[in-house]
Amino acid sequence: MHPQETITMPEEKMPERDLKSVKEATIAGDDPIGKALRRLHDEVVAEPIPDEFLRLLGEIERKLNGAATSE
Amino acid sequence: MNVLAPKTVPLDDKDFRDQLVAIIPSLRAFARGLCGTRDMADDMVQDAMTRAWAARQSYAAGSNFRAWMFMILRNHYYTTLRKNARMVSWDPEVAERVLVAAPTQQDGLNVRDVQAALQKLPAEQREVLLLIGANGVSYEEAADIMGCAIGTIKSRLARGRVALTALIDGPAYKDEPSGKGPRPPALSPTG
Repeated sequence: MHPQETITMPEEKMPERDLKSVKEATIAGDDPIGKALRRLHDEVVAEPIPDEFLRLLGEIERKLNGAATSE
Repeated sequence: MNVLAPKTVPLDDKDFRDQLVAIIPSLRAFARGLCGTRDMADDMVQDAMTRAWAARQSYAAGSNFRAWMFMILRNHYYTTLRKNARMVSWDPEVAERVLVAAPTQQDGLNVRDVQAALQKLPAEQREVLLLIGANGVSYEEAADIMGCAIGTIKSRLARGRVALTALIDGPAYKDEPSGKGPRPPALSPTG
């Protein structure tokens, strides 16, 4: 069950309660689009953080240590 | 001595760094959805982190760090889009092949289909679908991040969802040969 007929309406004609059902449709567990979007998100979040990020953080760390020792 | 108290109290650098580390996975997921490719997304996140670090004095301790970081990332994304028009013309022929060829999973839509279809949406619709649908931010937080009214967020979410659905399971769209099929109406640029 998708309230799709309600979400094709232009914004200014869309009643507030229908807009709420749009959000529910996107977030709800049984909505295929919402599920796929969350899976997309979860897949990336589950990846190990690549080395280049650790290098970037290492540079920040060095700046932190440099600031601490130079004072 | 400055008699004016600062309006915002920044985090100390160590705390700021810790917050930055903690938010990397969410930033990568948001950027991946925006850009569609891993390399471009990760470059975008690193740029955003560098910018955030340079601007750390302007972040008020206790305020919403995720919203602040997402805002920096999405602003950088839009700046890059404007500078490099090639990024928006993601190869539509490849996208259609992906959409037609990828099997639908037993337990729902194929994630690759959705990823490919997202890239064909107007950036503002893609962004709001990712923020609310994938990252689970509230309307209010999305409005802060995107710098627009909540009504605009709701409208973009609704239109984006319709357009995404049409791209993924619109039969007319799938049956047409590459490049000649009718376009779902929501693909035209919207405000």
